[in-house]
Amino acid sequence: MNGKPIVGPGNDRIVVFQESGLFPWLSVLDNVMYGLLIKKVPKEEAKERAMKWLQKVHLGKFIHAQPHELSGGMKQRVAIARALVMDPEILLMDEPFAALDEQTRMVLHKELEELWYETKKTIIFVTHNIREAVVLSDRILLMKTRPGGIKNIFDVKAARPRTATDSLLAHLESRILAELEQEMEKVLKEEFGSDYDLKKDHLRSDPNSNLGSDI
Amino acid sequence: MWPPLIIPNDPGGVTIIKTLIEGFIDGRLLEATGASLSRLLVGFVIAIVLGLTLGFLIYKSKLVDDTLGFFVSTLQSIPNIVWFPLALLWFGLGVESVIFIIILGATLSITITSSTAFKSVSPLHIRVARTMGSSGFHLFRTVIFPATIPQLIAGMRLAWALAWRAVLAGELLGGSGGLGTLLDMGRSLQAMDLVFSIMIIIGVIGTIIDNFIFVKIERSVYRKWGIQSSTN
Repeated sequence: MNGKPIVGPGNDRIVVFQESGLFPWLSVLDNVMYGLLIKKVPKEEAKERAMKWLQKVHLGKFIHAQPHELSGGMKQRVAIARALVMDPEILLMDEPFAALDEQTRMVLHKELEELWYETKKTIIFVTHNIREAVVLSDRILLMKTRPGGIKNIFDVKAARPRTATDSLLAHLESRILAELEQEMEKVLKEEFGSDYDLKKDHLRSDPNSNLGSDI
Repeated sequence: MWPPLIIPNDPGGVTIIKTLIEGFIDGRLLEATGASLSRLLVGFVIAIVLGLTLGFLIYKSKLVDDTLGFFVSTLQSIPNIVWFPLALLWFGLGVESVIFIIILGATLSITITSSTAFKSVSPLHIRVARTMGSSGFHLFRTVIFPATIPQLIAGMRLAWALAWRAVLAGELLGGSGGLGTLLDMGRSLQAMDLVFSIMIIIGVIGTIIDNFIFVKIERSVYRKWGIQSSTN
């Protein structure tokens, strides 16, 4: 990153984990201030910055609450505020919305997009949900398995703010799914036996062959 | 066999309640209670400091864990009172031997609970703290220690019970003043009312401290953390 190899955790690249990991012995405000105090930011300034970011994630009324009083979606918003208050160069998000219900996830997608507009941060977002990847990103890296590595890179050229019904997104989603199925078959064949097929009665054919229908 | 509780057998005879009240008025029981409690407090505080330090060392270094940790668990299997003859030889018949017993018993107990508590902190919290730039003693002070507070309180409650037993046993056998010695005196004078009065006081003090101090602290920490207790 920036020309230097990365060998461990550091506070210019903050992670948002799948379980928010808020400290139950601190209030919401103290949780968000934690990283700033490590950076030796004076307490008053740290408090102001923390409150500003908590308001940006629409949790201004909950700054003195204890983490156990919040719902899953709210905890993740605190975790995002805690990450962004540190002004990192890169934000790493490891399946942050995987444990949330669908409606909360939709709301958080919108909030994340707004925050991204405002802060212009580089976000590396790990997910298993193709729809989520397609709705959020500018660029999608599809990883392959056994051996690992990048299988393909897709550029998402849809308009922002993203709408869920964009046909370009649906098309991209099916393309990604087709490629992903190849990887899934690899893993499933190992688990279930080498004669296993994802689609039953499937004639194995080259996905690029079209019997001349493009004429 | 049983001295009467309130109403005397013969007029002007002894009852447990009468002995209790008289004992408090002439200061005997109060002085003995104060002596026992003060020794207990001194020993307990020293035991907490020692126990947490040892617990931290055992958690931090594998070498210390294998050597000292093993030693601690061996020592812990020896009942407190078995140390008493050794304490008498080393420290004589005074207060020091009683405090020695308290420190020994309580420290071992706190060391074991605190070292296992430190080791069992959720790795998610540690990862979060590391990604924010915390490490070393700062990590311990701001994450690992606060994360274990509920377990430490439970451990201290246990250690307190052990220490309380150690005080009374030590005073009973060693005659260095305090409630235990008074109890022994009651036995030698065949004064059943005194014996029962002291047992009542011991029970009451134990209940008060456990129920009103430790349970209160536990409840307030649990409420802050949002840990549900089964009665909620």
